[in-house]
Amino acid sequence: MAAVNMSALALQALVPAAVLGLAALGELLVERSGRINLGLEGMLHISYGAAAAAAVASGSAILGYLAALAAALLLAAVYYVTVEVLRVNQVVVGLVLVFLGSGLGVILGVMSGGAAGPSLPVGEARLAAALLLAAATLATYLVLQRSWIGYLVKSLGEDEKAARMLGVNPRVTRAAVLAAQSALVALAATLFLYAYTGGRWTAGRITGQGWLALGMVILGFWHPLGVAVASYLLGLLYSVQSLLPSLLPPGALYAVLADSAPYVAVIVAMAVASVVYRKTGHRPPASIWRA
Amino acid sequence: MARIASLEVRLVERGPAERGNPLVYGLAGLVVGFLASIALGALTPAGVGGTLGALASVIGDPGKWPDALPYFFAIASSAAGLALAYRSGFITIGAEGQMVAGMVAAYWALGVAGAPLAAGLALAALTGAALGALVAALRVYLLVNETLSSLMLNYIVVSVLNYLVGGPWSAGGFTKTALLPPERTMTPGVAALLVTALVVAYEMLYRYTRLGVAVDSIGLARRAAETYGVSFARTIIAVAVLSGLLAGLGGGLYLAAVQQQLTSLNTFQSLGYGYMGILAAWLAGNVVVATLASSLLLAVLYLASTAFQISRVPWSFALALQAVIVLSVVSFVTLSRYRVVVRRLAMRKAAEG
Repeated sequence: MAAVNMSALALQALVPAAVLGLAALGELLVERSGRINLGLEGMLHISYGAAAAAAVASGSAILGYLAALAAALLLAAVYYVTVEVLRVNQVVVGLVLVFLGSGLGVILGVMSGGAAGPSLPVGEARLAAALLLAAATLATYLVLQRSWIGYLVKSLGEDEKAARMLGVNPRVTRAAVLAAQSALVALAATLFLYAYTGGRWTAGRITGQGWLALGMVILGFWHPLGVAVASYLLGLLYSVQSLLPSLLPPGALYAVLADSAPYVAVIVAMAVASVVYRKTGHRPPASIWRA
Repeated sequence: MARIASLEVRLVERGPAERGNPLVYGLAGLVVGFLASIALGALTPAGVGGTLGALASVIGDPGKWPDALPYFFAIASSAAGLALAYRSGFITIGAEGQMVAGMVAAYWALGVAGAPLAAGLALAALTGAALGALVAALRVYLLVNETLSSLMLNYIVVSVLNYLVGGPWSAGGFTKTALLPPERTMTPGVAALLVTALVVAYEMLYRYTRLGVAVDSIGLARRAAETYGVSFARTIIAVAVLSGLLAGLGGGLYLAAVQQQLTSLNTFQSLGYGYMGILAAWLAGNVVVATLASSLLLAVLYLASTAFQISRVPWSFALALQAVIVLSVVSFVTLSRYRVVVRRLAMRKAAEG
């Protein structure tokens, strides 16, 4: 077995961790306000496609981000209108947004013609990933845990009636939270494009990141720091995955794990975490809690 | 409540007797959804006209409808069980993985072990049921979110399939298996009839057995149901097993009647019918027997995607189109429970003043 360079692994984990972490921090805000956006996967798909189309056409990384943001905001607006205004079941809307986002994402991505747009060299990509994840975690932590805005958002997730008594406007708060989620999702999708896939869009390349990010919210126990740690650990798993050929003998187990190690790990981790949470008496935000 | 200029628009919940007919609202939603999705065609190289033409070339030609049969039974086999599961509040999206697992199991029985067709289909159904039971057990005993665990199992099953078709079961060095022997295949028509009969049987099960009451009561008011002795664990495991059973069988049937061999899949597109089943279930308002109609509609739309490809519209447009239609129908059906009240703000202020 080849010697494993731990510091190289730790650095390699930064980009996948930041993609997951940014997406998960956005979802964390939404879930703390008492809603679940299962459409996160669709938001990432559409942002990834839009970023590629705009970045390739304009050659500008910033325009790529803005296009990703507009695309994410579009789906967030659909979520807002259907769930908050029309009062449609949030689970259905979320699932439908996955299809809408991935369908439109491919249509937009195809516009990039498979050409490479702006991208980040490995070193810069890792630095950008580390800075973005740290900044987003810190900002989410300060807003959610250390400010009155966070207090209002969390009160909405715990007891909507009580929050209304406090003067919280649920619609305005949730619109703001969805906008913040869109900004973070767009950041995750553009980072994925510039740092992970060399500025080149490939259909379905981002598949699974949104679902894994939803898992990170649970594993990070609805806390910004927890989400960042969980995302980093999964990022580490991604970098270990590339070492599997030297760690495992070729065969069925290797072949399957080479593809799906993160999913196996997250299912097992969720099972362990829920037992730990139950034993320690922790529970998620009241309005999304189901025993 | 939304304010547009000096108007205030508010949704007021109607009393149970005042609610609109959800079917009428749903049909209106279908029409609006269709129009909206055709407008989405503007995003594609074919434009609105090309999209409309591609759709019309399939829907307007009854001679092509039988081509939708393979999609229909595959979608229906996942949608019917999902409708039951969603009614109980068990939000699984694992039908896709269960179908793929059913295909793998059926191929093992029919193509590798040389078992008869019925045995292969039975094994496919059991494999789907086992996966369903796994997700339910994780949910019931370990509180693992079933939406995430079932989705991740879908990806894991696809990896297993890809390993098998690229390795032990590979034929001629390609990432696909050999074809099944002809005596172990069937026609799509027979498969569709079988699935239709089973969906009707599921509807009967829901209507005329205690399971139906348990499913609805657990979904609507779990605490109250448990007080009256309905077991949450047993209900969830039952719907998960039933849903997996039908989806797994659907996979087996799809193998025997349509593909007749296994090919590699990617996690993004996968086989896709299990995911479309989710849309079909909600489109049918989670009414088990109505999933037959919604699956047929989605199957025809999916068939149209082959026409899209000829018109230079990306295949994924079919996904977006289906999503817009479902969103529109679900929104309209929800609206049937509310009355839209529009007030002029100036008048209200005057009245208050």
